[in-house]
Amino acid sequence: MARLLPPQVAAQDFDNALREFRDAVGRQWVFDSGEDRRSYTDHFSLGDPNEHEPSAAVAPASVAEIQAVLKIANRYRIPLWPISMGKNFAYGGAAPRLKGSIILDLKRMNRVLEINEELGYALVEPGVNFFDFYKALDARGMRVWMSGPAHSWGSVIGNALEHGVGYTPYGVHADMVCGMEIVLANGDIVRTGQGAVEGSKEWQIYKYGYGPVWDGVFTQSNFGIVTKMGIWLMPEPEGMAGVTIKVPNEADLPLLVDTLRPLRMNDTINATYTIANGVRQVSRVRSRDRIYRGRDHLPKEVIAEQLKKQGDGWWSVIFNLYERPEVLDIRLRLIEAAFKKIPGATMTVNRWKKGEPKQTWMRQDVSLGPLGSVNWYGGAGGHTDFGPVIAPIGERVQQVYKLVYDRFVEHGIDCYVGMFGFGQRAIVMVADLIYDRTDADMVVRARKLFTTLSKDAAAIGIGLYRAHLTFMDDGARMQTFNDRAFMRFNERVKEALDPNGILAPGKQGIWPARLKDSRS
Amino acid sequence: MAVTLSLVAVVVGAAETETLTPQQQQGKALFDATCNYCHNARGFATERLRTRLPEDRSVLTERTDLDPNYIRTIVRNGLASMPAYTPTDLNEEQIRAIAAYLARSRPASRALGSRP
Repeated sequence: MARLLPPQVAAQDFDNALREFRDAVGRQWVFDSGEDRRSYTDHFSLGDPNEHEPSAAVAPASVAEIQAVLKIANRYRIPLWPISMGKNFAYGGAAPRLKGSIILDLKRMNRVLEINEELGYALVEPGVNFFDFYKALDARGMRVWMSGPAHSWGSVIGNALEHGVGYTPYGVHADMVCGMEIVLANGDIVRTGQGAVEGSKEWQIYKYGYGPVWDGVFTQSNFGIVTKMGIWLMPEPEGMAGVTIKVPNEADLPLLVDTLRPLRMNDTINATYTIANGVRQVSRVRSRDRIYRGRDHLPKEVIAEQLKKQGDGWWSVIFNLYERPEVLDIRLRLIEAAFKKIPGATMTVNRWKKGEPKQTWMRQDVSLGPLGSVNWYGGAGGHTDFGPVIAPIGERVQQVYKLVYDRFVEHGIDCYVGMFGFGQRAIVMVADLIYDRTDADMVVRARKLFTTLSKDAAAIGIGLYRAHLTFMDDGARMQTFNDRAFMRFNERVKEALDPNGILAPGKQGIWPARLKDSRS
Repeated sequence: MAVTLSLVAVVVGAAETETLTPQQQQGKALFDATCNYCHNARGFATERLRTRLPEDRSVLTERTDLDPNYIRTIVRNGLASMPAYTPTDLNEEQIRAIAAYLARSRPASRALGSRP
């Protein structure tokens, strides 16, 4: 792997910066060999694996070392791409948006600083992943539960900052954030909420301090480096029920959505639900060639036949309820009554109560299991997704689903969809773009599909919940209101907080003025 | 009788610990914590390997043909859908330990980095 310089940085300055980084964090924590740099590239890249290649990585172990690194980066105007665990593989992994950026790897800052069971919160550093967080909670008897994502190797902080989600009542992780410590580009350290008060004991229990609420500004942005975060934890529930509902007819999606909406809004369903389409369900066979060898989209008759073999309907809904056992019965009766109006719908229920061994359906295990889906096409699998946010109104969801499905068919890529009822008032449709990285034509089609969908969706007033590095500018272009006022505002904030444009240029389409020509 | 039992326990205990060197023990702990989620006997990585290798070679911990240098290359560079591990995920010493553990049954096993 040939040496790479950060944009607009001379070779001599780069050498000087690397030397100074080594002095600041220890020489063994600066990585610039080809092999080390390659390990930070996007493993599931859509095409050229070096499209988002870093020029080096530096791994500080403390806030003071981050401040030292920032000082050097400001002096030489070197772009830094902060990562916590760097495992967000559907969205670019550890790789930077801007080629040549230096990875600011925060994995060494991995302390669980506090777990407070009485008040139900933890205070963590960026390098705490869900495996370790689970262990820390388990060691104390699991009196409070974390809400984990599908893949547990990610960072608790990174996941919340990227608007990641889980499947408990605390599943909208960004909503569970309470208090941050942020190092700004100039090295200043800020604490939000009650953390602004020296010696506060209330930093992790009240989100709204005296003055503006800034926490959201540091999520999916490049305005600062979050070095500590408070996250709320759910007290261990007295009981749980795991519900699976099968809906046989494809045409019943609007009815299904309209049935779920009031139950989620009035909290009868008190955690995230997932609606899986037929393609997602037949992927249980693991390898596509077991049911179809054509290179076009899976024909509907193949999907229908496989669903029949599996005993599944066209739509499957799963969710868990968290409640005292006696109240669970009431919730379940209400849900069952509501779904009776959908022709052919069936409902199965698992139950658990406090003190019993945990079961798989509870999704309380740490795991990497869902990653296996990337092997769907064989070859060297990769995936990203198109993730529109949709009002849970049957007609609207049907409109977006049809648009997405038809485009997938047109581009010859299987439309693997999960629709998630995150929070009480939205559906996030995750249309997984799974591809074989060794099939160049398929990768080109996948890229084209995303760009086409982003234009289609924006034309009907739909935006995204996140996007892969390669598509960050596409996602930002969908924000068209008032001649892109949102982006102008973001850019003004960027210039104010980071005038040298050193922090994560291009993140979510936010570019500093000096690098704006790097926009795709 | 009590003395006899205790002696047996010590022997059994020693026999168990003798099977792995300290480096291999470290490698086993790292493998269990890092690799085993996908490479356990029923993991999706094992399933994937089973599609192109004989059954008895799909479970990494049961292989007798793994070369330490090859293991290091895969961990650091990734393979197929397995992403690369960065030097802050696993440092050289840790990779060496994992490689020593996985290559422990290889005939004439040689250490990672040693010349053939």
